[in-house]
Amino acid sequence: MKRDKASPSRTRLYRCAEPILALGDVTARFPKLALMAFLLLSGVMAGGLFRVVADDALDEFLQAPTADYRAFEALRESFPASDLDAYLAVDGSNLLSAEHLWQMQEVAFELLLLDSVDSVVSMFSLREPLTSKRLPAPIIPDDLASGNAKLESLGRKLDHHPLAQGRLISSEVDGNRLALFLVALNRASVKEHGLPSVVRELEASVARSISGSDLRVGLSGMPLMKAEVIDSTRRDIIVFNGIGILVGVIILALFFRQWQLVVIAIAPALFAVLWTLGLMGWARVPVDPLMSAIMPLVLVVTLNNAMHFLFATCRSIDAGASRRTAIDRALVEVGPACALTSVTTSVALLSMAFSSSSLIRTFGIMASVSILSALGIVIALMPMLIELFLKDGRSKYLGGGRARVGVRLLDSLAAAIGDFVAKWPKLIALSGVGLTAVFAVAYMQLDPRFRLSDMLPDQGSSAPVLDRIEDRLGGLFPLNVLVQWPDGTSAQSAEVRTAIRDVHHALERHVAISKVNSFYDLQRWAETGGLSPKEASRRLNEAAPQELLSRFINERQRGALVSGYINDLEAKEVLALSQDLEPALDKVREAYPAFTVTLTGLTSLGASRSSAIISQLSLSMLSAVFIVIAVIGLAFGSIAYAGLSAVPNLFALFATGALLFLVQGGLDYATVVGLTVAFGLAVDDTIHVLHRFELEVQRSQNVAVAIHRSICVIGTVLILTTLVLIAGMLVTQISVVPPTRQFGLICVSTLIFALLADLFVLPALVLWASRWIDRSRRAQAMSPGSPKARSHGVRGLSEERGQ
Amino acid sequence: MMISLAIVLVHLMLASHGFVGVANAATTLDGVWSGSGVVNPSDGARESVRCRVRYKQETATVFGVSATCATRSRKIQQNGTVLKVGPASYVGEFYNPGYDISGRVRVVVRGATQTVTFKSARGNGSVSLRKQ
Repeated sequence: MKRDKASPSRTRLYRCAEPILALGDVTARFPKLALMAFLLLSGVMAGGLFRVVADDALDEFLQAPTADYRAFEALRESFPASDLDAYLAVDGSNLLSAEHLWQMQEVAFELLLLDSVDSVVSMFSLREPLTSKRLPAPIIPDDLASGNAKLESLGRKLDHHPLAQGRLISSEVDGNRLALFLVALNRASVKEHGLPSVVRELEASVARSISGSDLRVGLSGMPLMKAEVIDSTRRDIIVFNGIGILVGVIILALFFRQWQLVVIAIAPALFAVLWTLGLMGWARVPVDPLMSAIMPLVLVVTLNNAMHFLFATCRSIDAGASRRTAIDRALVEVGPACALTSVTTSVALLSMAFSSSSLIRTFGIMASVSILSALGIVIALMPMLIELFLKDGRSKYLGGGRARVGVRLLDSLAAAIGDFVAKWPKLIALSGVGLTAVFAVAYMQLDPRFRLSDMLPDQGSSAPVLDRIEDRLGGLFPLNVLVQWPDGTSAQSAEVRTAIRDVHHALERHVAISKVNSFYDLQRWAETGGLSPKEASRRLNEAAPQELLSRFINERQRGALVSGYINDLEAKEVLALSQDLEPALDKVREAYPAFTVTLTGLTSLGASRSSAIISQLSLSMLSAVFIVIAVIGLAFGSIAYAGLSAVPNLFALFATGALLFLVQGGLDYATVVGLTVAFGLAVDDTIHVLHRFELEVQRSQNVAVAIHRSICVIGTVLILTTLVLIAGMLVTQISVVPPTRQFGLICVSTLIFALLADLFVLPALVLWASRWIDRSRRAQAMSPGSPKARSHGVRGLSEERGQ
Repeated sequence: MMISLAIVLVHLMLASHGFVGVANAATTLDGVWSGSGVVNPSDGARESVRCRVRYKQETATVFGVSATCATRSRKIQQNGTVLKVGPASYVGEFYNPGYDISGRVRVVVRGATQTVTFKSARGNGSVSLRKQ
């Protein structure tokens, strides 16, 4: 890299980053050729866009090589139907009239004729007591003509049927009832067409069948909610990247008032997002609500670096330097800080690679790789764009150009901040440290939280339907017990029957479990016709539909499923409930020592795994904090810098944590991932301030002057960039997926706290610490036999860094 | 010769009005047919049934069949073939492993409707279908 007389000396950080910065040197020399090559590569990455797949990730979040996940997999292998059950709720007054029964019958027929539906269990599935010879007639007669005597007693029959009341039909309240249809979706169909498409077909079929009726219908259940998450994620990808960028462009346009500067500032961010999505497409990494948060993160980091680079270049050109000199100067002055910010953000994200959740591991690795590739884009693209779009000898780009109003405003604000810090360094420094400690206490109070429904869209149509069903029929979230018997034991044996019965009773006795479903229900019903238990079991196997029996018994896998249904509870409540159940299940285990009785299922797994994952993430984030601080110390070659950088970064992190504590009281997976990402963003500001300080101290040889100058130079860029980023991040608030909204809010609050910490607390700490270091050195110099006394301030700090 | 010419002319007239074509299309089994009927299990009460059947011609006399039928609470899917045994009638054998039922099916087509009757040791039934 050629140097002119005005070029700054190289810092240690520059020497570390030089290999990467050489890329910028090359692209500045051959801008047109470099641009062609870059566009070609971008075209290849754009090809990956067509391979991007959206996903809901609910299961993968919990996926881990742990005993509880293995138990869940064993359950799914034996009873795969349960996670594809959609619920159709039909309610209204006089639900059991001939007219309404006919309409619901039409719905049942239409659903069953769909290729995407395997079975429908409803009150139409209920039959009279089982006999030894004939197949019992349906409870609801085939002939629904009005006046049918059987219809008049139907309500009473259903209210007393063991399989109906509180499960498939609610009791009558003010003439109203709610009927539930369990619609099992076909797995192959879902795989072929995708869940959203299957759900839309379901909705269309129900709407067609019930049109013109006064009955209220609604679909819900896990498949519906997952489909909503997938649809929302697809929409969010387009909205965040589209609107977020548009908002950023508008603010930059209002500030710069020159299209060249807007293009140069925003182009690296656009390409970085394109490359990130393309990489996900080529690598076949599904984009779920967590992965979609990588895009705004990349946007933030890239725009941040690009703005610092652009401002540095424009200030040099405004001061009379040539384009090439300005680029060289920016590569030396700003490039190293950009490199370090990207490396530290990558390190912070890579800390997630140690999580036991495969979803979070993938997020950490993908985000880390994306940040590093974004760094390469900034270093390569900025010099070539500046060479191509900016001119030597033109009117000023910043100070005297059309951007002068905005630049002067921010410069004045930055100067005022610098004056304020210079006047009260001790007060600000001590306040910063004190507040950090206070916020840390609040942060430590954050408990892990998880509720399955918190991960699902809250403005979707399925959530209100779920509430309606829970209100009339009790909880819909199952706690599953898998009962497995040894090889050689028949599923129809008395031992298996009584083991299932005992587990059924154990769950039934718990007050938080509203209803229990198992083979025991069918057995009990089958015996109401006067059959013996053995005969009833035999007839059930002959007469009951296989799709119904397979929900409860898997003879091939030698397992039975007993499900106790609870409301939508917090993870710690589910864990407490599970612990309550264990003594009762232990009694069953003692009575049937050859059997395996395991409490599992998505609800139980979600509770146990989420608490572990969130605690793990929180720990890895704190480890990342210390690693990043150490990296800063190594990069600057200074323990003092490492120590000084800790306070503003921890301030931003703990302040956001304290806000979380006030707002929601707990830490869930979205907020802890958001905090990790936000910490990476907060460190960026600190590094730019420290690096600028180092350069200014070399020039002025005076700490106070260097700090003031650093705030004036960097403050403008930090304030503008933070405003642009906050505006872009606020777009996440229009997402219907709660974790995405929370993530955006965390990033916004951390950006604000980081700005305050890096413009006030950090400079104050540097000023105050430099005096303290100097005072101790003067005390040493005055003692008898000490070396010659030295001048105060900067030399002390420089010497402490070993320069 | 005059009679032959008259017959040809009538045929041409019918063809130009599409009548011949319609008659041919109505007896073609190919396509999707749907409708309703009843099933009479030998050990239970009669139940209503709805069906949707897809036919696809495989040879001059053999048609592939893919049928989905449903009562109000059960779904039965059956694939197989039927053989054309008359101008508008077809027969076939079926076995459903899910329900362990085997039997015989007969299809009679009249215009745009057809009647399907099925018999097995476990019961019988019939459905009337219309072409979709």
